[in-house]
Amino acid sequence: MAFDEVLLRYNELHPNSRVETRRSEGGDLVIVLACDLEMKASTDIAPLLESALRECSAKARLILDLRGVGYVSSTGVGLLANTMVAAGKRSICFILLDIPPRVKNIMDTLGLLSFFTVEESSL
Amino acid sequence: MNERPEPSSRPELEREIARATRLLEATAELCRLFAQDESEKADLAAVEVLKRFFGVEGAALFYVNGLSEYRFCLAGAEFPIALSEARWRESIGPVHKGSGVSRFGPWSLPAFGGPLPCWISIELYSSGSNLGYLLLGKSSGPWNEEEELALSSIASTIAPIVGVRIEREKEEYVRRQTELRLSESEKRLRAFFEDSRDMIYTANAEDIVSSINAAGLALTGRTEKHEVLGHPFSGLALNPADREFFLGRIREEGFVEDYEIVLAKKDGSTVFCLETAHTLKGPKGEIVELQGIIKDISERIKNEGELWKTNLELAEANQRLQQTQVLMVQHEKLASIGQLAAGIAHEINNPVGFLKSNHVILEKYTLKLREAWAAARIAAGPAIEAIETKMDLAFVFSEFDTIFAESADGFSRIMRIVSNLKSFSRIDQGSDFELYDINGGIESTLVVARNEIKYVADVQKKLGELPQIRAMGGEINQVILNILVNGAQAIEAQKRPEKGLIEIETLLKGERVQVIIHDNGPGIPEAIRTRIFDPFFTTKEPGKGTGLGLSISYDIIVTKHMGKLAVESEPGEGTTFIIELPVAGPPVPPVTH
Repeated sequence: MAFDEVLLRYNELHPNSRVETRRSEGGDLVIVLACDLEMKASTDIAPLLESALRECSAKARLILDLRGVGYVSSTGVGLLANTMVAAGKRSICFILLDIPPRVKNIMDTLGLLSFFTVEESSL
Repeated sequence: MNERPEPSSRPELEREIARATRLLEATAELCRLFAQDESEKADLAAVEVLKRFFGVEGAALFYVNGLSEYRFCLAGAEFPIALSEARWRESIGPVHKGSGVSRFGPWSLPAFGGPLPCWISIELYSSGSNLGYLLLGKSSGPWNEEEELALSSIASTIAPIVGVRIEREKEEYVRRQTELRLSESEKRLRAFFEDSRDMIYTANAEDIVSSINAAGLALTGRTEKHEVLGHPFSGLALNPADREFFLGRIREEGFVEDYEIVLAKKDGSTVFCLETAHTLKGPKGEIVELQGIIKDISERIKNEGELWKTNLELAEANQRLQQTQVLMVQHEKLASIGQLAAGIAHEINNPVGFLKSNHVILEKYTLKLREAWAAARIAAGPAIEAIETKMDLAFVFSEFDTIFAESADGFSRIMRIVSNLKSFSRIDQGSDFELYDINGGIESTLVVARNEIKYVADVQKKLGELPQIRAMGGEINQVILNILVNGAQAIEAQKRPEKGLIEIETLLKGERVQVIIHDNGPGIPEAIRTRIFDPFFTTKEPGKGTGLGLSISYDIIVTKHMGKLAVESEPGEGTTFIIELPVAGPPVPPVTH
């Protein structure tokens, strides 16, 4: 299923935590999350990220904007870790943008933060 | 029942008064007994009073108590006697007929003594319910009207009292049973609370802990409840903000399910937990209490974390391996190209050598031929002049100098290119760090890159005085070549009408040398500036670049030479690469034996 279709379906099912996407000038795919990554949401978002990876060409960048994420569960951290691994297999650079401190703390406590490419937006 | 006739004489009246007084006293005594003692001892005492009042041999009270037990109390007995319902009914049923008063006999109380000939029984009836039977038995004479009236009077007085007693007993029984059930329920809940393997706690609306079980103490690394009770729950969380987030949700939704929180033990260690909680609300909807169960999931998280970490490490290692493999292949290719160039240079060197040598000899011989021709011209006279004119030998001879001069220049250029090729590849150096002249390297690299640059840009050099540095010259030259060719290609891509400019500057800065290469091409957009050293990153059209040039350059300068490779760029203003290398080269690893 094409990414746009997966995205449309996700947003229909989750009207209160819609996921926005945009393409940067450099051709990066940016996914903006505005929901808590608790167990169910993480499970629901997983196919979206898988589809996004399929959408990205090799050597491209998939950027996950986490500014709107207030809470991340272990399932959510697992989602990020699995996406990172899958991105690596496809030679796609997976970037976490603007990680909120609480989310960063959890990833750091789990000893996983250093595996991710983390960027802060200039906004 | 007949009513008593009015007394017709004073003695009769006095007897009547005495009889009524005795009845009243007996009734009062019965009432007092029932009032003073709520136990069945009062029933025993009551039948004793009745036996005495009526002067009979047998008196008994059959009743069903508040516990729905079938009993009878016998005058003279110490305890009420319990019967089965069937036995109770078998005993009283056949003798007491209908409601009201029955007379019967001879009859004996169940399992007690011999029969008495005259019995009277009266139903105790109150508030629409049969409460039991009062029985009196005597050995002589039938029961008269007066006795029946007295018995009826007493029965009607004590029946409501007996009814109330039974009701109270029932209520008491129900209360005791309820208390018992509550107590057992409380015990069960307390045991559930205290013995749970998970932490169970309550907190007030301000999130101050009001109760916690033993597992909770263990989970938080506390030993005494007072260490937790009365304190904010957030004090138990590793990050109090996590608790604030939780409170926001539970206040909004009334419950929170499977919320992960990291608790901090007293000793500073952390516990990953899963919490499910809900609120108890007051009549106005205000939160009265938070009740939560927290499960230790550290082991699960630890295992999952290890798994994720291993996967990520593997993925990273795999990527590094792939990149290293590609880099190695590319290095190998470059080295092969260098070797090839050096080999070709070497092979060209020899024929060019003897060509040049022959050219010098040929020039000498030509000079001799010209001298011989001049001598022959003088000797032969006009005949040879005719040949000279016919063949335009004057022009041919005049061109000799130009041809030989140009050829000599060509040979020199070929030999310089060959020399620079050998110098550029430094094939004789191998993979060792040796003394290297950066300025010389730049010169030879410019020769190699000349064809890429000369049509698109002019080159301006400002090479400072530099000491020789310890480096792998061939690789440094490759870096310089990469940057120069990238700059030239960037300028070319602009398709500008005029030539661009590439400036090369070298300078010594303390113990390090700097090579600054600036081109006035289009510059690098900020969005990709941090990625230009990434392997495989390229902005060139397919087939023009592998995306490895700058990555390899970075590896050569930073990893191998412990130097620095930086880029500064402004879109529209061009790009500057700054290579910085330590004069002494990278630290020499200690020799191990």
